[in-house]
Amino acid sequence: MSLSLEERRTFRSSVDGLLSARASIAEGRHLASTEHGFDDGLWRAMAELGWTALLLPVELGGVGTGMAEVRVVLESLGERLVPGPFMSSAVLATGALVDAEASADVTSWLDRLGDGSAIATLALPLIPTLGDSCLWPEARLAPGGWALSGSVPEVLHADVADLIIVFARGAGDEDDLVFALDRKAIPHHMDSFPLVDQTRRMQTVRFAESFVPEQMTLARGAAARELLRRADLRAAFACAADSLGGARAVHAMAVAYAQERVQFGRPIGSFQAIKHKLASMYVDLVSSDDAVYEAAEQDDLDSPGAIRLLRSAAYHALEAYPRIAGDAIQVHGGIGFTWEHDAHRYFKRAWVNRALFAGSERLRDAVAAELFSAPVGA
Amino acid sequence: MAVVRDTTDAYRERVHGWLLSNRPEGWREQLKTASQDEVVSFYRDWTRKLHAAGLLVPHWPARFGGEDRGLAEQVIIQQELSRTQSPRPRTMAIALGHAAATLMNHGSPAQQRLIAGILDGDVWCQGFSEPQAGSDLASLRTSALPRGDVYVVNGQKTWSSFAAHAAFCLLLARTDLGAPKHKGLSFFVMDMSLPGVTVRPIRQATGSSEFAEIFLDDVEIPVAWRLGQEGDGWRTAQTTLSSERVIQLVELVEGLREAVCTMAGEAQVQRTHGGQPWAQSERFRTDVARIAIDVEVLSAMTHRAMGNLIAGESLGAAASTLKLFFSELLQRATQIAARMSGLGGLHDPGEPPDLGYTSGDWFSDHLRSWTWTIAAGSDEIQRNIIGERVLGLPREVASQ
Repeated sequence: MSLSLEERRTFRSSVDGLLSARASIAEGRHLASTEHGFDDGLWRAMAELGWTALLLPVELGGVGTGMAEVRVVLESLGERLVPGPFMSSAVLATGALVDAEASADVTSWLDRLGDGSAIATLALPLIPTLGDSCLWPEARLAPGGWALSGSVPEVLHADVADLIIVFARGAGDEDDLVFALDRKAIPHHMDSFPLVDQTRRMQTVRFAESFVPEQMTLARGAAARELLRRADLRAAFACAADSLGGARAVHAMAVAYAQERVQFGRPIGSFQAIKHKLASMYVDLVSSDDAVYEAAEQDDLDSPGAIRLLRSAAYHALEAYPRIAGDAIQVHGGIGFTWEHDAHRYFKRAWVNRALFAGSERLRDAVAAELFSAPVGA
Repeated sequence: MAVVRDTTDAYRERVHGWLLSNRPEGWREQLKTASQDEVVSFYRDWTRKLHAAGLLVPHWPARFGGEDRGLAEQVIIQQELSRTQSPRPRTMAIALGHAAATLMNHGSPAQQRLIAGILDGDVWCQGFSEPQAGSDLASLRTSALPRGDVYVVNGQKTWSSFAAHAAFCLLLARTDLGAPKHKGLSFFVMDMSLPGVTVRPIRQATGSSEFAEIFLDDVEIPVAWRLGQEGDGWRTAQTTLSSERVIQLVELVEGLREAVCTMAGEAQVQRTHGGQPWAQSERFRTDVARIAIDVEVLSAMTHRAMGNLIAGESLGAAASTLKLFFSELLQRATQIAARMSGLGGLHDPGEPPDLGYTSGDWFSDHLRSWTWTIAAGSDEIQRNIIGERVLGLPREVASQ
C-alpha cells in the first residue's frame, strides 16, 4: 500500500511534530548516561503513532506502507541523533519476520512488535576476522529442537530485546538456519560492547548448549539464505537513511556557523575556501538524498536493477556522512572539536553507521563482483 | 497503472526495433578517420533520419514539429540510443538543446520558423564567452549598437563549439554601454553568413578543433532578430528549458554506463605490469565499482530531477549539483580507464577522434573531460552558485 502525496505530507509532519517536541539533540546527550540509553516514553509515543507497524502488512493489523515511510522516520531520527531501537526492531527484525513463512508464533510476535509492546533485534552473521574462528553460532539437533552454541557479536540493543533473530549453522550438515529466540526462554550470556557513538547500544550474545525449541526456527536452507539476503539489503538501506538525516543536520549546522562566524571582518562563509567546501558537502548530501529517495521509492529487494541501485545508494550515503561530518568539524574550527559541541556526535554516528552489518565495503564489493562476473561486452 | 506501463514498454520496443534496423553500421570506425565536414554531414543525415522516424523530439509541442509526448518517451529514446550503440547527434547539441528551447520561449513567430531548420539538421553555435569574459560572463564587451533597423555588432567571441559549421549563432552582446553590467545586454539570433562574421577554429588540447573564435566586424543584425526585450539579454540567455538539460544528462548517464561496462570488459584482457589481468586487481575492481556506484547515484539524481520537472517544478540548484557530480565522475572514470591502458593508451593516434567522451580512446576521453569541468560555468562557478544561491552564503566580493 502506498500513501498518497497528501498522506505522505501528513505523515512527515507528524514525524517532525513528535520528534521536535520530544527528541531534542540536547535530550539525547542526557540519555547517554541512562541504563538503556533511550527514552522509553518516546518509544511508546512512536508506537502509538504507528511507526513500529510501518512494515507490518495490513492483514496483520499493521500500517503496511513501506520503505518510503521507513526512510522518513529513520532520516528524522538520524537528523536529531535520536537513540533507541527503531532501526533494529521496527525495521530489521520486523522486516525479517514479515519475510519469514507465517506461523502462529511469528504472527503473535508481529502483533507485539507492531504495537511497540515488544522489542526485537536482528544480528547478521559476519565474515570471520582475525581471531574469530566462527561468527555463526552452531546448532546441534536435540530432542524437540536444537542446542545452540557460540557467540553472536554486534547485536544492536540486545539488552532491551524480547526477541533476537540470529543466523546459525547446523552442526554436521552445515545447513543454514534462522532462529527467532524468545530471550526470556533461552539461556544466554550478554556482554555490552560500548560504542564511540553513545546513541547506540550494542551487545555480544553468547550461547552455550542453549536449548531452542523447534517452533523458534524461522527458516532453513534456501529460505534462511533468502531471509539473510533480504535482511542484509534492508540493513544497508536503514543505515543509509539514518546517515542521510545526520548528514543533512550536520551540514546545516556548518552552513549556519559559516554565516555568523566573523573573521578578518567578514563572515567566513564569504571566503571561497569555506564556501566551496560547503558546496561540495552539499553535492555529497543531495546526491545521497536523491539516491536513497529513489531506492526507497522502488521498495524492491529482489530485482537486479533495484538491488544495484539500493547498494549504490546505501554505499554512497554511508560514505558521504563521515566526509560531511568531518568537514563540518573543520568548518567550525576549534569550537567544533569540543565535547560540548554536537559535531563529534554526528561524526561518531556516521562512523558507526558505516561500519554496522559488516561495513559499507560489502556493498561496494558486491557491485564489483557483479560487474566483473559479466561476460565481456555484456 | 498497468496500462501506462504497457504503453511505455511498447514504445521502448518500437524504438529499440527501429534503431536496430536503421542505425548506420560501423559508424564509430567510420567517424574515427572522417574529416570534420564529414562528421557534421553524418550527424545532419542522422538527425533528419531520427526526426522522420519521430525519434528526435517527440516531447516537443506539435506546432514546433514534435508530437506532444512526455519526457518519459524522450528518456526511453536516449536509453535505447545508448543500448543499441547508435550515434547521438553531438554536433546538434546547441541547436536541439539550447537554441530550440530559447526560440520556443522567447522567439517571435518569424524567429520560431528557424526551428524547422534545426529539425532539418542546421547546426547552431553560441556566442557567449569572450577572451576577457569567461567565468565573469556579464563583463562581456561585444557591442550591438542600434542604427535604424539594424544593430551594428563589433567584438570577438570565443570557445564556440562547431561555429565553423553553424548556420546560426545565439549571440549575447552589449546594447547599452552605460548600464550596469548585467543590465545592458541583449540576446540575438545571428545568421552566420552575414558580412563581417569571421570564424577561426581553435585547436584544442586534444588536437581537434571543435570550437572556434568568432570575429564580428560591423555585422548588421536586423532588429527583428533580437530575442526578447532590449537590455533583457542576461535573463533571456539564462532561461533555457531545463528539461532539455536533463535530457542531455540522461544521454550522458547512459554513455557513462556504457563506459563502465567497456572498462570492466577491457580489464579482463589488459594486463598490469605484473602480468595479471586488471580485472584481478583488488584495487582496480574497487575503483571501478566506485565509479559504477556513482553512475547509479547520478542516474537516481537525474531520474528525480526529471520527475520534478514532469511535476512542473523547476530544476533550480539541481542544474549545478548535477553538473558538478557528472563532470567530476567523468574525470575520475576516464582517469582510471586511461591508467589501465598504460603506455599503449598514450600512443598518438595522429588525427584525434571527434566522437566525444565515449570514443574508447581513454586518454583522449580523459583529457576531454576538462571541457565538462570548465565549460558552461566551471566547477568553481557552480560551487559559488550553490554557496550563494542555495546555502545563502555571502558573496566574496561585492559585484559592481
